[in-house]
Amino acid sequence: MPARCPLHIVTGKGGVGKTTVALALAHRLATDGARVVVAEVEGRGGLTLATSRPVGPQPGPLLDTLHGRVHGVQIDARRALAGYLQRYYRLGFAAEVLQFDPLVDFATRIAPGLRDILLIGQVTHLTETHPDIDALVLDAPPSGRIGSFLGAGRGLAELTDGSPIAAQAVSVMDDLRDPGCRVHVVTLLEELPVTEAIETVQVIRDLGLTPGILIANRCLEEVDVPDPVPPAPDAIGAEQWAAMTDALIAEAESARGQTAWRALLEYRTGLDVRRLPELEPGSVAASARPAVLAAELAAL
Amino acid sequence: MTAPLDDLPLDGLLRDHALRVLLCVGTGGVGKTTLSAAVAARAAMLGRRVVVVTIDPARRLAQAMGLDGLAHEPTPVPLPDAAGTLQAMMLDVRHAFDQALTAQVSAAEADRIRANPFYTALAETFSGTQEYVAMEKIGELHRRAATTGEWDLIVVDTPPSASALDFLDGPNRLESLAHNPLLRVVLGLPRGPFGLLDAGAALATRALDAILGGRLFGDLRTFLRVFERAVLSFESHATQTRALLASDAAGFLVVAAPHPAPVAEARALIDRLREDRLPLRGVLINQVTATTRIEAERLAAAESSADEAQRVVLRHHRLLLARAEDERRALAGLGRVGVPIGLIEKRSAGVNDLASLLGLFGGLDQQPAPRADL
Repeated sequence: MPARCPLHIVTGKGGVGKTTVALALAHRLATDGARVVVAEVEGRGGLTLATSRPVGPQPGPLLDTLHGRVHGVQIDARRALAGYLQRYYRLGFAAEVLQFDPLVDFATRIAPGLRDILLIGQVTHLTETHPDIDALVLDAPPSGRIGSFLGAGRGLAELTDGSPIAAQAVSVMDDLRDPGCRVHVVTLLEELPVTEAIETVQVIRDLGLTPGILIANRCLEEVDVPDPVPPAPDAIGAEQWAAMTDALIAEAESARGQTAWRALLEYRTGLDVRRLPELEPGSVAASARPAVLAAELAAL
Repeated sequence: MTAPLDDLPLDGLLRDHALRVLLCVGTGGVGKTTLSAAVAARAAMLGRRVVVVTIDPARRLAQAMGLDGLAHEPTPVPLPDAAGTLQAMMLDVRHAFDQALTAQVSAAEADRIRANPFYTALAETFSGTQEYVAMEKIGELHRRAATTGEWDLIVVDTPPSASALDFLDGPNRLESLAHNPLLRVVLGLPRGPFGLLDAGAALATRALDAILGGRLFGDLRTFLRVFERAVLSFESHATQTRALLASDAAGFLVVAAPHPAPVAEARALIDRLREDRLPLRGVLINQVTATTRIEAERLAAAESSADEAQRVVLRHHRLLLARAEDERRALAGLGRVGVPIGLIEKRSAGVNDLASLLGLFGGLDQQPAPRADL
């Protein structure tokens, strides 16, 4: 992969909004006519669910942006194997192999890491088949598996020293260690996601990769609880009013808790944490979310 | 929460002594581990003798349950005033895989497998291993319970995975690998009457050699010869466990969060459980926004007369109403699938001790009704 094309890998604990943030980042990068491609590798259809646009094996329009272009692509193991075989062997041979389902299944699963290497290789290969891409964003597997996913090349290279796939594994690791490749970690400012984010940054560093930015998603706005707590308005009973003020105080406590988790996260990783706001219901249409969050990223 | 959706008779389910295994399934990040622990604690309060198998709980939750992170064996969790008992254990995949292996093959063979570089990689990264190990553990605990009577309910927190469906597919994936016709080709074994055509076998050998290279292909062969025997001997257990999970003694609870993506995953999972005829008992929606009930006219009246400080409280109430409305919209589709749904309200304080775990399902102050036949 040419170093001039940056690769942004986005990971995070399940349920923290990885795909949403990957889209916001892509939107943010698609300025000044830039062409950005967002790739997903897990076949979950996350990009389609988030954008209501079909995403196939070739890059196709994903987001509407004013100044650039964001396309989406889904990379699956079968096509990745096909791509690998076509690049290194005869086309006819590749086609023959792919006719034979048990072989595809076997080949992409048996050697640990092989599947991941084929997937990552197919992502970075996009910049060769589509030289007009200015930036790639990879909606990567969740942080629980990111170490084995991104480290697959290292393991496979050791396991298969000298075999054809080892060369591919080494080249994938080179691409990932290129300074143009950064791994961004998305989190929520809560105990479990923060703990996992801290571990993930360590895993990224241990692999010799470059951590990018930490993005705290769904941050609550700080709440000023009136002091003293106001008495109930005439129309509302004392018990209901107490429940409502308790809810406000609880929200203020959650927001304060987030500030503390953020401080811990920054302290333990030595990285800055960027906050994306909780998009409150009704404030933003689902299709406009990436643009709104991208604006938040830009403001930082 | 009194929404019409909230109709899962959880206590009734937990009191049903025919239920022996309860599996919590769902995607990551929805609080599956916490809810598994809470369901287990509730069942113990109701008089069951429960063991909960959990995977990587948050440290404080583990501490609250008396786990130091190393308990691979069921460990008692003190639960004051419980009519039953609660034990908890953590599933360590590598440990359990090693254990399962050692139980199935001779010591010398187990050593040979462990020494192969493929084994470590497979035990840790193969995308069916965790699920396979979880299945094996369920079977083992169930057999042990039948012999010793230590437990009458096993609650399982299924492994975190890309897709909740992995839990159902993972074990098959490991077996389909063992049964893959190519395995015999790779091993150079006779292919049998239903084996591949020779042309296919030759292509397979060429392709694997091209992709993997000769040396790796050789290592792989050595590994698979031993591994095949191990996996095939795991199978009789797996078949038994699968029969258990499809029986009335089992129950699946789908855990989700009240947002579009988790709800979509939950629906896919529900469809799949039905397709596989697995006993789906209900859906638990975690972290639902709680709102104070006030008639619209009274709220409007309060808003028109409020001073600045009161307005802060009222604005926040409106925000909660909007969040709850969003969640209701996300959940609307689930109401039509005909599965009982339980709503668990969002807590502002973290759920990290036994009291807060129990609080998720009614609280310690609720006296459990002892069963007559206990």
